[in-house]
Amino acid sequence: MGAAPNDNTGKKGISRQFMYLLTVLAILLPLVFPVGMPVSVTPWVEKGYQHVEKLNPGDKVLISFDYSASGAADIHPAAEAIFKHLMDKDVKVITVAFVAEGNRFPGMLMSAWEEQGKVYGEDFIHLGFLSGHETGLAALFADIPGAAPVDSRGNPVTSYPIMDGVKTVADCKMFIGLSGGNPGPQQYVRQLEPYQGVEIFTACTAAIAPTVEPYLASGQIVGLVGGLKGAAEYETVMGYAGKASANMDAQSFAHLLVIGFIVAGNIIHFTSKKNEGN
Amino acid sequence: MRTEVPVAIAVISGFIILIAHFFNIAPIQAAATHLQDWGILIAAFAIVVSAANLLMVHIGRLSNQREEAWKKVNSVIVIGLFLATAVTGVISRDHHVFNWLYDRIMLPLGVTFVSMNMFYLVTAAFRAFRAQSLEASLLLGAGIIVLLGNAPVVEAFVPWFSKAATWVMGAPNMAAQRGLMIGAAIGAVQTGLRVICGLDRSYL
Repeated sequence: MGAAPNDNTGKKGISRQFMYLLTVLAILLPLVFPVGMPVSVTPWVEKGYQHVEKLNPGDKVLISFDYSASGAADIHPAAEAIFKHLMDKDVKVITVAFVAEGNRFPGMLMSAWEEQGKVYGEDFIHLGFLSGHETGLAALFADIPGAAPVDSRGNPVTSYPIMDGVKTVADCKMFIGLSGGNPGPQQYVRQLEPYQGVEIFTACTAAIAPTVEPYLASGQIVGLVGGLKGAAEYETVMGYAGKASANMDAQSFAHLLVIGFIVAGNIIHFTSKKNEGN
Repeated sequence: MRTEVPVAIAVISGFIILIAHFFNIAPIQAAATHLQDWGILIAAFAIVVSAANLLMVHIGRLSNQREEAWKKVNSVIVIGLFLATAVTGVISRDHHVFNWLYDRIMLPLGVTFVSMNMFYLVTAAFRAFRAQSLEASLLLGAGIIVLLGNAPVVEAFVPWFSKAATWVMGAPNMAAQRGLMIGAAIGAVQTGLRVICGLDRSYL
């Protein structure tokens, strides 16, 4: 790999191998020796939690698992926390995936809850993968049994008690979009606009979380869980420490390391520039 | 005819979806639902085409005498895993072999692939993030505040960092995002109108 013209790595700076070693240590050591720093809860995670908390037992919620394996580290802990919250409140959950790789995640969560006594088809159902991204969203919202006639287990969706009275997304109290990109919050807001009674709550990667801010301010999205930090906040507000909280120390030290490298890079750059001037 | 028919289909489809969005007319709503279902089917066929293309590329590589040996080994692995997932996925939507392949191979590989970005990020932070101008300094400052605000170890000692990060996200970031969104929305309306009016035929 060739070095950039203003590259500080190498003889004049810090070697790439040393930087990689520090990165590995900054992530690995907090995982092995956790510090357990408290996580403060940001307003949009708190608001999302409060909206889920207001749901009554028996209310129906539609969750879309729109992230792939590569986004799982960032979003799946949030999915676990939100799913646990819904199960604790006896809310009925209908899941779907508009990203092919996301199709596996609802099954992972459901099998764990089935071992704890929840019943597939009564407490939750997975409609499977629906292609077409935003077109798929629009079609499902308009006619759920029409767009997804059979569930992930190959049975007619109308044969399950959870689907009684569910025709469109308007029959659900809330839509929760777990997104790693497209479809994402923008697509959810666009396609749910005609169904005014359905609240939108989203969890997404930290990278796309900043794009959700305008929708939060306008009230079109009621809550946001952004990345692993957001998931740790959701676990905190729920009063338990899950996977996200366990990984927060590693993320904290990784952030500090990045800032340390930014500062070191600037110091070396401006010092060498000053020396060249002299 | 090769141009007129696709353009007519696009124009009629566009109008039906647009009218169905604003007016509750039963036949139009039904037609829009059918069009959306067709959209799902077309996208599903695109997945089949892409899977077939993947298979053809790797079979072609295996039959090529001049191809390097390690590339052929790679193709054998791809074809083997492709057939394993395709066959088990067709047999059952919840087949234990399919789930095992996803949970034990696909998921760890996907997460590992993204995790590699961290190494590029630290070297990029060291090499490229310079406070060489006012704009770059502002970007650098905002980035550091958001990074520190999302690190609980920092919050524990300097609590206001979290509030500062929330302000950066909720004020300057939101203002910029709104500008981007409104600009993109105006562009989308313009493009949509051009397609519906048959003026934009770039999809042909």
